[in-house]
Parts: sequence; structure tokens; C-alpha cells
Amino acid sequence: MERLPESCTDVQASLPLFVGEDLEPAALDAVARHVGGCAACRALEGRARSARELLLGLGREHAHAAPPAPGLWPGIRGQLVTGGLLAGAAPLAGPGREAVERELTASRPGRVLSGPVSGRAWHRAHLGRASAAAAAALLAALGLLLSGEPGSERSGSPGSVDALVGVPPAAGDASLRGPGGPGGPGEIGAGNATAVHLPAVAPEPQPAFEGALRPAGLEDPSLMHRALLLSPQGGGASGQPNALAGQRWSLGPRKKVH
Amino acid sequence: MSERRSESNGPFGAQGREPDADAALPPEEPAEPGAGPDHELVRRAQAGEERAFETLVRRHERRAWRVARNMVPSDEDAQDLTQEAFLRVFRSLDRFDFQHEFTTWLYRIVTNLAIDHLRKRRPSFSTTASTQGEESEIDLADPRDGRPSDAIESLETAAKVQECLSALAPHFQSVLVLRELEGLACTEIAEIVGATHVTVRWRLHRGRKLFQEEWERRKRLAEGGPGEEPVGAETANTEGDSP
Repeated sequence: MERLPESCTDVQASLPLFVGEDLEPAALDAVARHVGGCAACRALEGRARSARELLLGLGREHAHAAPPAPGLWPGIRGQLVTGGLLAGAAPLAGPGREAVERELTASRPGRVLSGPVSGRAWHRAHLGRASAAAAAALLAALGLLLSGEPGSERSGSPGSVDALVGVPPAAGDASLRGPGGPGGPGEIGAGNATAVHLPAVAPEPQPAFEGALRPAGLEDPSLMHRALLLSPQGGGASGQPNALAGQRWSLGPRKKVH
Repeated sequence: MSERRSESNGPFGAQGREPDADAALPPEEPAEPGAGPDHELVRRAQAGEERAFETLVRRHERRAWRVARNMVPSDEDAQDLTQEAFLRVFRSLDRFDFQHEFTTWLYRIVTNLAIDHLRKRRPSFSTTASTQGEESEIDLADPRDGRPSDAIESLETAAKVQECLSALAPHFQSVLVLRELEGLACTEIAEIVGATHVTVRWRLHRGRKLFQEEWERRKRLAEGGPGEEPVGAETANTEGDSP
């Protein structure tokens, strides 16, 4: 059992926790009794309580704060779609494509978390180097096939949507990772057994999006890429309405870590 | 070691919120009719239901954003942080441990991202400096035209408090934000930050003391009094006081 604060020294040392009622009940009573009868400690208690009130006031000031409309979901969903982890209804050609490309290339001052586009680097972590290279070659081939022009610029051009799925991840591209090193943000405290880490990149070559979430029914990466490239309405090669719309995604094998 | 908590004692349950915090904070966003508890939504999201994940985001975005905003100096950074936190949640859905509350997990990610963000920045967090040389601006909202003077004073005080809070090391900031601004209990905070209950109480004790000392020092400086040195190694992003 903790020693109860009795002297002024003990009581004053307990004040930071006392003002927030973060002491054990017996200690709270002991400090309260002492403060009630000691002017010096009562004055110090008042200062500590005033300081805490400032923090509580800041909480009240921010209590009604919220992310700007329309909230975070559209941006999150957009990044999941462009990263290929979620089926999207947004067209990837025409105005929709231009909007995506603007977002990819826009630089926002003061941002320190990631590159020009928040979160762009994260999906690159999913692509093994070999798989990304294979995807780039496939895109180049598709580009040649569809455009009929040798040396098509569609794949690999900086900032293009195609480049997202085709460009191998940059060396050391870990802009989202904290000083704790690869695998996740820095952690405070010891024994952080339930920390969240980025999944390890698979070493062996594999098709793009293998193991990642992708719409069910579009297992062939070439079909997915073709569907992304073709049709101003974002539909498939057959001209159907967006082949990806409404698709449910499938998870890769589950790995229970904890 | 972190403490395990049952599913029933979530941050919004009877034991998770301090009485004064209930009065200070607005109620959480109402759940969609039939949307179900968080764990059910996580299971549905794991099964591939986009709507379930969207519901999780919409249900918790406001509070997650607020936690981030109370630790970083700008709305933009808070938005980036919170968005990244949800993206990480999405990528790690299949590894979610149902012995924990979803909010605990989410707030841990947000807090860790905020701490990483703070460690990369300079100690002074009260302004943002554009890389393109634009004029720095105070990150908290400017007073709106026509607001009463006491509201303006309140905003100014809030800005000063935020500055003072930002001067503390990240591990003190995070505990103070979660305890004083979000009203979470120490046991919940311990799970979020991955520390023991004793460690959290120690950081809370030190954090409040350091905040008070820093506030009084700045007040004396503002009033033209003697400007004592900032409190030792515990301010300005130093980690030396970790037990």
C-alpha cells in the first residue's frame, strides 16, 4: 500500500495528480485534509488546479473541432482506389483521371508526413520490386497494343496513374515510417506488443496485387490493368459500365500476428 | 507491459470516461442504424464490405482527428495524420486483435503518428512555415469577424496553451492530450501508448508539473518579469525523463 502523503513535501509532490483526482482514494482524502488546513499547500494546489484548467479549457475549445467537410472518407477512399486496394467507381480517364493526376503531382507546403501526395508511398510498399517491374513491362506492352504507337509515354511517365502501378518502389522509400525504422512508427513506452507494423514486402516475384485486396472476379492483373486503362467511363474493354464498380474485395491469406 | 481490457470496458463504457470529460466533450457521432458495434464492423470489413469500413471511418474520424489536432499544430497535418492512420488500419484489418477495442488501436496509431511527426519537427510548433516562403501563420483558427471579445480572448488563450503544450516532450504531450483533452482514463491511455499504468501516471504527473512551470514561466516573461530558463531536459522534445 502506498504511503499516504502527510507532510507538506509529500503533499506538494502529490498535487499534480491530486488536482486531476488521479490518486488512490485514501491518498486523495489525505491530501484534501492537509490542503484544507495548510495555506501554503492550498496556494500551490490552486496554481496546479489553474494550470490543469487551462488544459481542460483547450479541450473544450477543441471539443467541437472536426475535420473539414466532407470528412476524411472521400480522401481515404480515393487513396485506396488509386492504390488498387479498393474498387472505385471514379473514372480513370478524362476529367476524373486529370483530377487524380493533379492530386498526384500537387505539392502542399508544410506537409512533412509524406511526399507530394499523402499516402502515395504506402501502396508502393505492397509491390515487390520484381512484381512492379513485371507490371511496368506489361503496361508498356498494353500501351503499345492499345495506342498503336511505338514508345508510348503512357506507362512510367512521372505523375501518371499508370506510373502508380508500374513504377518500382523507390529505394528507401519509407517516408511514412518513423524513426523506429522500417516496419512502423516510433513507439513510446516499453513492451509495445500490439504495435501496428507495415506488412513485410514479399521477396519472391509475384503478380501485382497478389495478396493485396483486389476486386473478386478480376484475378488476372492484366484484366485489371486493361480495365483501368480503357474507356472514359472507366469501364472494361467491352464498354460495360465500370467493371470494378460494386466489386467486393478479397483478402489475401490472413496472418494472425498476436 | 500493456494491460488487456475486456471488450465491455471500452473507452465509451462506464469505466472509460471521466465525469467531467462527459460534460466537456460532445457526444460521439451517432452510429448508423443497424451498423453494429465496432468489432462487428471490423469483421464485416475483413470480409470485404466497403460500407463497414466506411462506417468505421465516419464513426471515429472526428475524435481521431481531434486527438491528432491536439498534438500537431495545423489542421492540415492533423488531417494527413488521421487519414494515414485509417489507411494503416485498413491495411492491417486482417491482423486486428479482437481482445482490444477498435478505438484503442486507432488512437494508438494516431498517437504514434503524431509523436513521429513531432519528433521530426523543431521544438516550436506554434506556427507553420511554408516551403515556398509564404508568410507564417498561427495554426489555430483566427478570430472571426463579429465574435465577442471574450471569445477572441478564449481563442488567444487556447493558442497560448497549445504552444505551451507543444513545448513538452512528445511522450508527455500525448498523455496530457489523451487525459485532459480527451478525458480518457489512465488504464485506457496505458493501452494506447503501450506503457504500464504506473508509467502513464508518472508521465501525467510530470507532464502536468512541466506544463504548469512552462505556463508560469511564459506568463512571467510576457509580464516583463525575469525570464528563467525553460525547465531542464523535460521540455523541447527531450526524452530523458522516461522511467
